[in-house]
Amino acid sequence: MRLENDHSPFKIAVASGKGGTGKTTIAVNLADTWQAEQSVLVLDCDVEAPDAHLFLRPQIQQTRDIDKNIPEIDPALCTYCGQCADVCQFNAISILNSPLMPQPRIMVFSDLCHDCGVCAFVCPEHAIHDQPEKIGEIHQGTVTPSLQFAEGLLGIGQPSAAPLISALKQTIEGTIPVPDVVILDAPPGTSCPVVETIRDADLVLLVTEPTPFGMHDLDLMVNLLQQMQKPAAVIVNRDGLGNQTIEDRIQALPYPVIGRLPYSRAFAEVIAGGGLLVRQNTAIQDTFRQLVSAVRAKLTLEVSP
Amino acid sequence: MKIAISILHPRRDTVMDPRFGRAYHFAIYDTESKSIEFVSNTENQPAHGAGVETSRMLLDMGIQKAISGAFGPNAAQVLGSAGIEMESIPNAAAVSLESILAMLD
Ligand code: SF4
Ligand code: SF4
Repeated sequence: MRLENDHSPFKIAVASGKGGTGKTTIAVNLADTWQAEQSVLVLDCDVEAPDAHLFLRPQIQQTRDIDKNIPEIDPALCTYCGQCADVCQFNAISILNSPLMPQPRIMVFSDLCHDCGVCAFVCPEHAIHDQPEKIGEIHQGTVTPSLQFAEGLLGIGQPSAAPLISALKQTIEGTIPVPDVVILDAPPGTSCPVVETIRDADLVLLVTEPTPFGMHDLDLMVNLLQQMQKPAAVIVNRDGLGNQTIEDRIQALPYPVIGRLPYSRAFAEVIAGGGLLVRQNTAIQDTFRQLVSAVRAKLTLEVSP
Repeated sequence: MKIAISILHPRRDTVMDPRFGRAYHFAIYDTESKSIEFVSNTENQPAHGAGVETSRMLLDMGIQKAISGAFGPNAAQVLGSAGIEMESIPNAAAVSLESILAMLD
């Protein structure tokens, strides 16, 4: 149970079942509004295509490489016994044999390897050693004194985002001053990187748009959150696009709707220009202030005894 | 020489399967005996590394050449290092197995 005087920050993940629902818009405008009340750290966990920086325009102060370990096999020691390939759940090691090959070959596929270390552990010949390989970068910086920022950028061809997201979340501890709130902008979808992002979130904000596609992907997300037993609340973006059937489905979700952002051409233009809605439009400022209050109320409800 | 061709259905009048690693079936054509053997590639398909597993299966069968629509990077690495010739057929989903066999004869 989390208490109010616990100094570790509250973590709020902003997620959506699919891309293009305006998840980043909600995350950055929420962060910019919230920083008037408390110090905020934004983590852009959409490491395959981070874009929160386009809106927040942070000054990047620190860039750091993140490595993963790839097994390297010493051909002089390897007997091609195959034990490493058998234990690897990800098929990242393969022993190749063909009637036409003079001798077997062993290959490691770094893009499939999840750096679990089991292969080195089982190798009876001690032929496997770790070799670091860069998987991506973390950029850390400041937007304002009360709004800090970090993002992960996955290397080209690197398939597994989860380890980078995990490293990105570790920047929370090192952020000085310690933020009151961390807003994690999750990748789209419901796969491993999303799970990694929301794993230790205190609250998940589900951004959806009232269209049949939006609803379908939201259902997948709701399923995931229920399996993970995460408290969540729904934000409807582009409200007004849907019909009554969709509205009924939104109302029937197991999570409360705590905010709605109306559909507007003008908003779309601000977003397309890399602008923050809350800096341009007073009506939307109020909407986001109410959203911050609603999220804080929901947090208090979820984390207090 | 044995040649593997990725195909949709395990029969002669099929079109190619444009995928290599996750192809449904392969036709293994022996250019000497002109015989065709069909192998299913739908069993034991791993969640990760399908291209590697498929390549391994075909290597075990002693193929020397593979024909498909596209080869993933891992499959290409395995086949390349084993000295297997790879041929990518454009728009493979519309190409019949017969037309490939005709080219090989
Ligand atoms: S470290 Fe784990 S995932 Fe990587 S090759 Fe070894 S067993 Fe497979
Ligand atoms: S377990 Fe060790 S000896 Fe056996 S195949 Fe793997 S690397 Fe080679």
